[in-house]
Amino acid sequence: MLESLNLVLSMVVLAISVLLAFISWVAYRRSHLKSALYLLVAFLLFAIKKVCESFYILTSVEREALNVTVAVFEILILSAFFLAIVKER
Amino acid sequence: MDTRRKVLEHIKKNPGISFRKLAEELNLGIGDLQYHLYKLEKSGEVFSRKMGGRRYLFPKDMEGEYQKMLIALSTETRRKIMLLLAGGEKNQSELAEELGLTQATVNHHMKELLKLGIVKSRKEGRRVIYSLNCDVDTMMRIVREYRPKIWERWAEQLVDMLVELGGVKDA
Repeated sequence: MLESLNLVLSMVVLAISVLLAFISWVAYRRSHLKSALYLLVAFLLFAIKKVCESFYILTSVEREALNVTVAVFEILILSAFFLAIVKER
Repeated sequence: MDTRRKVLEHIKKNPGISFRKLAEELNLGIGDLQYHLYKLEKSGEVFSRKMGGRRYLFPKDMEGEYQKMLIALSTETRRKIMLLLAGGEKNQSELAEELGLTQATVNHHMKELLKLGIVKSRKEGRRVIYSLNCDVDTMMRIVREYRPKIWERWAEQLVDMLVELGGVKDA
């Protein structure tokens, strides 16, 4: 029960991150702001991270490997957000 | 052939007219108009651009000028600035006050509009006065028909938010 709820919530999170990535893409196309491009990258990485995590629910990937992958993605996502805020001020 | 010439003449007289409006004003069926526009675009007499859920039509010979106008009108704040300037020249602080924005944000948008050549500026003492440097009728025609989709509005809000954060346009 909890596992399927987890899967449904993961799908919702994935859908929201893809929507945010799309909005960032539209914003970048209109403005050519580099910050919008970094946001696009951050939301796409977030979506990929979520897919990796959901993949873990569905299959039996080694837990340690998943933890490392997720941590790497989190660093990349936060770096992209950081760049979106501070770059080209 | 007569219909096609009529379509072309109407676009030349009303650059920036939307597809829907053109069909209405010439009393033409959608399929019929689509066919003539396809032929006119293929022969290089007309070009069209989609923006905010509408297809706008322009005579080809002034493509550069209208492209710039469409870029300028593609964000909400710039549209508002251009509408304010259509009512008469204004300086940066007047624009910021009327739009409820910071001077930095207005400054960013004005730089972009100046770069596009849609707006011109002149110095009056210590103040910089801005005025429109484009075909106001065409601009108003586009703005009147402009209906952005919900995600386009969100994207416009995101652009304004990023500009407030201090992002500077790259291209």
